[in-house]
Amino acid sequence: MKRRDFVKLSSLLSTGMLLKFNGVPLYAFDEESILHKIAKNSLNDKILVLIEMHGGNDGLNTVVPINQYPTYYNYRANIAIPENGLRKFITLDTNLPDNRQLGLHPDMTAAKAMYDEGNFAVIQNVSYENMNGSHFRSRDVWMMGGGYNDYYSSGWMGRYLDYTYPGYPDNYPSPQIPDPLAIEMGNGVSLAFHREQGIPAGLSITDPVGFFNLINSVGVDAPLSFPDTHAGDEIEYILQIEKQANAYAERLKDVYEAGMNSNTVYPQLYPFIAPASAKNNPLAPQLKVIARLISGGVGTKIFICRIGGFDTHANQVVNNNPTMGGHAALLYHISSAMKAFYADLQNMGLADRVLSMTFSEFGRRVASNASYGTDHGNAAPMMIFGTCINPGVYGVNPDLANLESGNVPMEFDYRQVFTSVVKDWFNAPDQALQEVHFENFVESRIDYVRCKPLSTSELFQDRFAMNCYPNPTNQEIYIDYTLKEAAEIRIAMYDLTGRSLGEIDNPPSGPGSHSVMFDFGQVISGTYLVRLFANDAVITRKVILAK
Amino acid sequence: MASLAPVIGVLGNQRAAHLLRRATMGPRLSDIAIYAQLDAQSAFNALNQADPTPSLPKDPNTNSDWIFPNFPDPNQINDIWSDLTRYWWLETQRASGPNLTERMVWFYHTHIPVIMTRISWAPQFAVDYLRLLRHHALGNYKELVKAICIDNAMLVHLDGTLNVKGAPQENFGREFLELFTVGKGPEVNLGDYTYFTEVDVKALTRVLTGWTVDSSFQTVDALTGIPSGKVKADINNNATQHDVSTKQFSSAFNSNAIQTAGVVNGTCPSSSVVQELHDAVDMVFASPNTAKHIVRRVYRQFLYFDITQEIETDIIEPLASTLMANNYDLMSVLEILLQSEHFFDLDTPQTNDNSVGAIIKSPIEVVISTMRFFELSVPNPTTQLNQHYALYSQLLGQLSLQGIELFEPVDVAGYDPYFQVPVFHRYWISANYLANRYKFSEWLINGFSSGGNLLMKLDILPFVMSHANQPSDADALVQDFVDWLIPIALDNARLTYFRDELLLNAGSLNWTNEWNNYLQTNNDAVVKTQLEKLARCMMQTPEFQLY
Repeated sequence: MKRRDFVKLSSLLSTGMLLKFNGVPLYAFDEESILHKIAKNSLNDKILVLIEMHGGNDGLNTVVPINQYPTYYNYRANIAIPENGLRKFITLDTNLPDNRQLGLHPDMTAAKAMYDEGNFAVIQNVSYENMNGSHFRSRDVWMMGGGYNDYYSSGWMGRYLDYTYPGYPDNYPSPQIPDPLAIEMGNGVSLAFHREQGIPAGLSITDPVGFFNLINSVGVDAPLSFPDTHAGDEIEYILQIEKQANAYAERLKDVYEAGMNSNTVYPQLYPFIAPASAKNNPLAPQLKVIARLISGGVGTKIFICRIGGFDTHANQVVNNNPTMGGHAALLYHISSAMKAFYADLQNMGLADRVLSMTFSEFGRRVASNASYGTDHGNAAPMMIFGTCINPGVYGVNPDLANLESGNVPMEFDYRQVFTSVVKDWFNAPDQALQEVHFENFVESRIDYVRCKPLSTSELFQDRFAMNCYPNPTNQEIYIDYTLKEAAEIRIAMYDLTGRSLGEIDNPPSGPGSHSVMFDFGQVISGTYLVRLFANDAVITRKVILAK
Repeated sequence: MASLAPVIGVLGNQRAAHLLRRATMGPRLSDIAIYAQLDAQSAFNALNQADPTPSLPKDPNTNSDWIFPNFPDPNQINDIWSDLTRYWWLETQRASGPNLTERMVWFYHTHIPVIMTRISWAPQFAVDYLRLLRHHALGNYKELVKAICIDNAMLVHLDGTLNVKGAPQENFGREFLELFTVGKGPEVNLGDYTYFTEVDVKALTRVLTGWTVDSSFQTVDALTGIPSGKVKADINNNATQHDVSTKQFSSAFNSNAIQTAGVVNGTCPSSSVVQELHDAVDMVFASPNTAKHIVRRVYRQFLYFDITQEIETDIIEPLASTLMANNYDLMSVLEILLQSEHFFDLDTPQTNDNSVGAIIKSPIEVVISTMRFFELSVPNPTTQLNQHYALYSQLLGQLSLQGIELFEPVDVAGYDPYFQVPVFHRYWISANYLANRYKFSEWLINGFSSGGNLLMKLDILPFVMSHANQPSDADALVQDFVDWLIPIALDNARLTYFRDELLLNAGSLNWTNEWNNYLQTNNDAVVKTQLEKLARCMMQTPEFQLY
């Protein structure tokens, strides 16, 4: 073993960081690190991948409202996706009711295949009240998680991360949270990751190894003080970014190098007619890096990828074939890249941890214009991808007979969609939802997340959740518990200062009633806590040891 | 209170340097020396001198330009001309004099951008767009806007050519109001953005119907001599695609109605279409919101991104009044602003709103201003055109690594740092971009080369020999470097760090001995290494990123 490898391995062991074995991350802990483990377990391992369709996606050519096809066609004869022929729309699901019958763009065969496997959903007509037709303002609204008249200086993701990881950036990275909280693929960081103050919670990278080499080749010592001027503020800002870069560069390289991709082939080129600049799949390489980072054990919660070219005022389609052109290529890129991404993740057993969705600042006008394009509109569909979702179509086809100023009206507020991410996918507590300003959308959130953690009452039988006896005891204690469904279970003992005494080896985790025993051994008399962790719920019982 | 009162007396070195950093593409030491002797008014008068018009860009294969009556070689792909235009622009910036011309061209490009790939099929359009900005650089904003509305590049970029009677194309009309003129106020009702409404977008769009590009370059603006677009007209010069019905604007524009003159049988002379455009521009410029909007953009370009209520009241509003009183001659605003106590930080005793060094350099300033400061020579564009282009090709790559695709903003609003809330210029700084800025100093010192030919290199030792006040004294030398490279004063700890760690190699060198030794023996090994280290490292500091 080379000395460098040895040093690396031992430092991983001592900080409780990951080891790699056949693509499955293993965590190595020493005896002292039980508290670290608790800290880690307090956050789930779910990841969100957001795909920003930059420019305003034409929803009606993404998902065609089959039940109103003649009206659809009349509004946009020069760009309408045909209902017949080799390149007709792909009927998503003949079993859906009439007003949810929709046809995917013919270049979205990959999305259709994912739907058939239960891994694709469409949420129709997403927007916000008083949609602002400006790209910039509208993008700000989506990113900041507010309404049309809110002007937050932070994004909803930034606020979520700020709440969940207090003290950023000073307290991070830490041994428990070694990774950037969020990563934007590409070079810059958008509003999304901006918190109320200070540097964004996200980091932007293109290639982890190149990033590390770059960061490590530049820079000098930081100044120790800054003047009380605007210039001083800017210096401080730049230094924070420097610090963040230094802190994460090596870790990301290690994770990336420890990770792998399976043998999945990611798509590269759009196979039909489109402008040269639209042929290459810009998303696939980004998703490939993300898959590898996840396989390497990265703890990052949110990734954002951007794909541009949706502002299709003109030449959205080629003028002799409405099924091909720039917009078709973009839809092909997204759906084919997503399919490859999930195939890759599934091969590595990681897919259930990753939820992906698209969004765009607005949809486009129902009527096309004379230049084979569409102008800025209002509501549009969001696409959800993942192996832990409830597949299907949420909402109904827009009623093309009742438009608002020629636009598709809103059926869902975009925050109804994102609230499900924060609450159900990340399992954030109510207070986090308040911090994110989504508390008013909890009731009306859209139920597309399947692998929700169950609440305490859902997990345990009502009256017999956990029972510890005898109590007081002089040596051993029996812990009985009943589970409605299988869950990840840990049972650990603590003293009143939070110090761990030990935990039960492999407690039963299937549905039904279970009983385990803990021996206090040499522990002195006193009051102790038994805690049962089931997924992210926890039940605590006080027991008294009287020897 | 922020004060627009002019500063008194000769500027001196520091104020001259501050003024030139903001108002030109970056000062040389000789420029600073000249401006230091001037008072603020004389300095402004000198800045307000137009640069000589640069010669046209050249095709390296023919060594002549491709501007009508010449044509680009049809066997070359269009992207070549796009890049040659970029090289030409960068060289023009580099070679420009100590005046406002190229700074204003850059300002206007960030404010009224065009995306190159949209116009690359007609390579002259990009050149003409830049010529137009340059023609109006020190002139009247309203005249520029009138011209830009019918500029070939703009007609393509925002789909103006597709806007015809019966099939309105709102893209340009919307951005004209939102980005270039009145700007968007609070959305008080659906479609009512206070300063304009959707009604105005639609009315203005109809005013602008019926224009097209002239890719044969027969339509030439009499005033500027630059080719422009034209009205679509029949052989009698009657407009064929112009909507001649009345255009009714909202109360945001005093419920103005714009009529087409000379309508006969549903058409009108081309001159009526031009007149109507001018009427509409005059109407929009009569709104004080247009003046305020452009003054805020000026403030952000020349002062700082954060416009507080105090700045709005004390600076923006009075300057907007000045601008209107001077019929949108933008120099009337700069004449006050660039002489003001506020600009030079003399208006209040507090320092936390000081603006010297408050702006984060764009990559253009990192690259071009640094080349200008060190007076780096580039391969001669007449005798070494291929090498000249080879250098700029590499510099374009550097700009891209630092976060700007020149002439290719992602948004129709331009480059994020010039408009994107909340942090504006801080968007230049991400971990990647910052590291690549730092890396640029290494490139400068190691030199750019191609095929074994050195293209450009910073030789720091000769620069020190020519310009340092007392190069044998380490403290004086470090102070010179700080004055050259950093816009703000540094504390002693920082100066000591630069001196001991960088120049003196962790304190191991006696600088005076080394310097004298070099003078006597002409062996530059030690002093050159240390000076290069000092220069490189000082350009890898947060302080150097400011101007």
